[in-house]
Amino acid sequence: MSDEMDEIWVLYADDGAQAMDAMETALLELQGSGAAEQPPLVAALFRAVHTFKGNSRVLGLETVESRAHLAEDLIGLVRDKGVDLDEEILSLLLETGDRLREMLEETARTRADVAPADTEALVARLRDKIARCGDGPAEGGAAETGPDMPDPRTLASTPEPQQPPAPASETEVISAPPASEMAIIPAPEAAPPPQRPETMAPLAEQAPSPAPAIAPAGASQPTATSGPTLAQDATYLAIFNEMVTDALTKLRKAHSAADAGLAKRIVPGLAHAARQLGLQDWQDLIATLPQAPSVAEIETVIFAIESMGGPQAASAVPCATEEDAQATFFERIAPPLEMISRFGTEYTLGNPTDPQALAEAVQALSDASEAVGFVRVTSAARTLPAASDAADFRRSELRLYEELASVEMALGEKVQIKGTSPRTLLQTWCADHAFETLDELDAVLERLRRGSESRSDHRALERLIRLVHHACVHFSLHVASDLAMSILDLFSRGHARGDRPDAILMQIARGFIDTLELVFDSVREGETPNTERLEELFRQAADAGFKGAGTMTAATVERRLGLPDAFHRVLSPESTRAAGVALEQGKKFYLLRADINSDDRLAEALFELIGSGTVEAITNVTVFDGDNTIFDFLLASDHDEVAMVATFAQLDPSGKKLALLQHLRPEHGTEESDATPSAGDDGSADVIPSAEMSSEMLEQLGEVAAGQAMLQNMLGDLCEADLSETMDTILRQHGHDLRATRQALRATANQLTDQLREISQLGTQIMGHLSELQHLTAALRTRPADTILRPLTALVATQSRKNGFEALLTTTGGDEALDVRMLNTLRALLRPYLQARLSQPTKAPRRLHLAIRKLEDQVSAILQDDGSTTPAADHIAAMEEELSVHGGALRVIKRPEGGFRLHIFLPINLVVLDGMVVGAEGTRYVLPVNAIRSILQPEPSALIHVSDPAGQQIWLRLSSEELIPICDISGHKPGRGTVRKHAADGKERIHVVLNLPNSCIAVPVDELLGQQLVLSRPLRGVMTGLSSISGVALLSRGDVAMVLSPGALCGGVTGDEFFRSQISH
Amino acid sequence: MPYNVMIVDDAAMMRLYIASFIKSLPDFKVVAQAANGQEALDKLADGAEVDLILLDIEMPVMDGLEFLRHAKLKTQAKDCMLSSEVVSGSPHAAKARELGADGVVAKPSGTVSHDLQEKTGEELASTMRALMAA
Repeated sequence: MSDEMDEIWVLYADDGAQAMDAMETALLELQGSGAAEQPPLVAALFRAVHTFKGNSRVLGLETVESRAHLAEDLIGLVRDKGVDLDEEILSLLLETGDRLREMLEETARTRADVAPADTEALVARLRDKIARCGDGPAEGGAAETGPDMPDPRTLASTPEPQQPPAPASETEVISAPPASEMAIIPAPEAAPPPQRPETMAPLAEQAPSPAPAIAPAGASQPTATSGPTLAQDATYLAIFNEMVTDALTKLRKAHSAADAGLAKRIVPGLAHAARQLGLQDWQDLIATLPQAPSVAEIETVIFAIESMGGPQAASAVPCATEEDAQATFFERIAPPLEMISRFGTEYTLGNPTDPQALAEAVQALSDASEAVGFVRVTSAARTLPAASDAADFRRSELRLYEELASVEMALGEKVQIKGTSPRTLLQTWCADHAFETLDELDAVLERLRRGSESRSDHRALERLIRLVHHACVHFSLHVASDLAMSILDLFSRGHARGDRPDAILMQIARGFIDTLELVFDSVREGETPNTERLEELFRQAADAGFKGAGTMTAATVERRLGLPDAFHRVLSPESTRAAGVALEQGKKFYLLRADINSDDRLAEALFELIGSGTVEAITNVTVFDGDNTIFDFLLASDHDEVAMVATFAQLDPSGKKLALLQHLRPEHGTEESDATPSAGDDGSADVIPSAEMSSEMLEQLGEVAAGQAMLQNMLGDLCEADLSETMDTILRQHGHDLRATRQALRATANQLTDQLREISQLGTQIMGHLSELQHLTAALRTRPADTILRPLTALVATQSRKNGFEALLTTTGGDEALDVRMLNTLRALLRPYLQARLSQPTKAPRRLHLAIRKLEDQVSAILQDDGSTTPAADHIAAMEEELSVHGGALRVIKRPEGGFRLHIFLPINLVVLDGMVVGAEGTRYVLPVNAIRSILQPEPSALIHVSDPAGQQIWLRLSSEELIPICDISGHKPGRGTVRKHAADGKERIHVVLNLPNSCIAVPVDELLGQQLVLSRPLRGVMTGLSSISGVALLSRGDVAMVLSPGALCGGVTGDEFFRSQISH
Repeated sequence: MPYNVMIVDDAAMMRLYIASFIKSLPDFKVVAQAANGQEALDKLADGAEVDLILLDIEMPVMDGLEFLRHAKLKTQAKDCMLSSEVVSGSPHAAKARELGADGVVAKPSGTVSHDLQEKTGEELASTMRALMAA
């Protein structure tokens, strides 16, 4: 073996040198090449780097591989994503080529990987370019990471190798291809035994086939035959002609040698090739010849072959008539296919049309397929007229489409199909039967789970998943179609290994089915389906192999820690393992930004801390800030955040070089539960993803942290300055000179003023960042109510269909922006309620309406239906209990006209409000922007005194026809002499006109301070008595403001009344 | 009687690497090697008796996916994609399946200090055997 390893290393060097030469040649030719010349050169460039990468990978040269991988990624963007091959890319790739060549030489010499540090700058530039080309962070082995603590002076990380192939998780076998993937053969009747067949050679050693028959599904994968299109392909004809030439040569040799053995395989080989190409005249001829001619018969065979025109006989379109030759197979079958498809639809609706027309269509299709040897298609078509009922017909129809789609796929791009392609028909069929397919799939999965499956269930499973895949393609559900293939992939791999599907895979598959039911329903309802869950399942499917092996993946760690983008795909196996252990130990995780590259003392102190065991460094990434290189560390520790801040403050009192960016909140769960889809059997746990900190927020936090550290430093400097001592010094030095003394004192005062101004400016900047952070936070936590309304609508449709009736849920309020927690609570309450309401087919409602409305301080959801069954008391009690936890309430009302109405009220703990901040009576208030109709500064004549049963009041004239009451900000209607016309600064007061449900009011204020998003918190204690105030908010400048409730001003309607008025309206 | 295997890969090192591994399997024998899809087709047309084709994807002249199309029409040998591009659940794996690959195996990696027989060839062997038994 060592000899072979030597040889492998030699070949590695040779292959690598060739690849590097090819890379260089392609790059040089690409310089100055035109757009039309580029594709083949870029393809060659890609292959060269790809080969080098693959070879390096096999030999475990992770650094070399990671660098080549990055180059490959960049070239791939040019080749596959249309990225322009600019000078920068060419220059970068030329440099990369040079470095790769150096690495090749070194690794070939040392038989060991190269040090990563030497090429870190290049890696950074490659990653930067890839990111700028729109492909996000570079994937694969190029990411920077530090599994072990790096030297403080060479903190650049070691490369992350690609995930090694998980044992037994990256192989797959399609043990029994389903019909849709089966090729068409004039096949033997049974699958060959699993021993080596006597003859497997292509085009040469095939046994003569019996009469055309359908290959059984379990048959060893046969080849596909070709139709006239392939017969017109010069390549195939040339091969056939060569075979004929070769056959004649061998036959003559056998004849002269009188050796029949030399001729025994020739005729079957030619027969197979003629059949593949659809050369009917050759097939007819060969059928008359002995398959294994004796010596006496050889001459006859030679004569017969020569009578066909010799070796060049197959130079023209061979088998078809002149008329047939002018139409491709697919063109010929288009009209009958259309007829069959229409017949199927009408049959399903109970109204089949002319059976004679169907028979003619089947005959036309059978004739066309028979002529080109598509025996499976012929057989499938002939089952159609024999169908006993509509369901039977549609099954036959499916089989036909599968066979035709298989032909279409086998022919690939060689055939241009006019009209509807068989694959499209297949996809449409699958879409029409999506729910039945999902049900069947579910049943098979259940048998697998119980261990009661039959041998055919594995094959059925694969076929059903393929049908689901086709349905997803029909609905353009790309994530779902890919996920279907991934699930198929995982099942196939396990089956090939003889393993039973593990719990994780079963959960993924069941989650897939549950989610797809809702998604299909959404699509059919014309709605945009929520595919977040599918994406999550797709990710789980990708991780399944690792989980099956009991290994926590890097992706799992990323997800559970909620790592920011910069840490994606940088976790090495070691760091992944370390993070996994820390997670299991319940440690806390932090992100630390360290600017220590130029501070050896601080670097040593930091590493000493890390080495002490108090803080564990999981990994780190390099951050380039201009010319400065800084490092972000992922740390794990038992210490809480306060202790961590104190620890780092001891190391860096200035706060400038060590900044705790983030305290991560890991999901502490078992790997099993992590892998388990969150949905229950009914998908009820299909929660809305919680808000995650975005990179922008992280950036703002970083700015705040850095600014705060700088502020503390400047204040520290000020505190340390001894002003008295400074003045004494000045007086001592210049006491005799009043002018000089004054100048010196003025200079000192100016210096202090400048310092204070800088501090003030810095404070303003920090406030700006905090304001932005507040804005980002507010935006991040809200989702439209449609996020839950659409799935609930799909749920009602799905559940009712499952139970044998049709029910429809309509909704209003889908645009209301609600906090994700609120949405999750509502969903958790409504889903089981709806499912319970729909569980009794005879009494269940048929029409339901759900209205969601957000008021100032609460959210109301009213679900009204026409069902005759009374909601179960224990169910309602459970809902009330759940609502009480959230401070909400529930009412169930029986409607006089029949049915029930469910009122859910949930208080808003954190209201994200787009508010107008105003000042009035020395206090800050926030008015909801969406309630503001206009803002004006009225002339005194516009203020009208009117008589009211309650007394004299002042109203505001907006126009000749519109007069509205003025209501002061405390909620009172001012009377004569009680309203101030001027603000404290003497200016005319501003009036904000607010829309109420059925009217308007004007609220006078002293000043407008601007619009901003605020987080309104509910009132506590005695504050709850303020009826016109719905909450308090912290403004961006640090002030506290009262949040006004317009509906409650001037005895206005309450939120509940407001809502009811909307509902009745 | 061992099954006949053809290795199709543009890298000579990779062909040797795989061939070395297959040597250790008594039920398989490498009977042909090709540097690209076209060369493989030529060898098949020349009458190479092949039961199983181990196939790379990225190759010059004719790549693995294109070869797969031809192979479905021209040979009854099993096709097994053998590439670093075909990890579980990847788009490449799905594409290979769509085109009719009978099996998909990721190339082994990181074997710089290991004996070839100890490397991650176990999956390859089990997949090859499962393919031929199917």
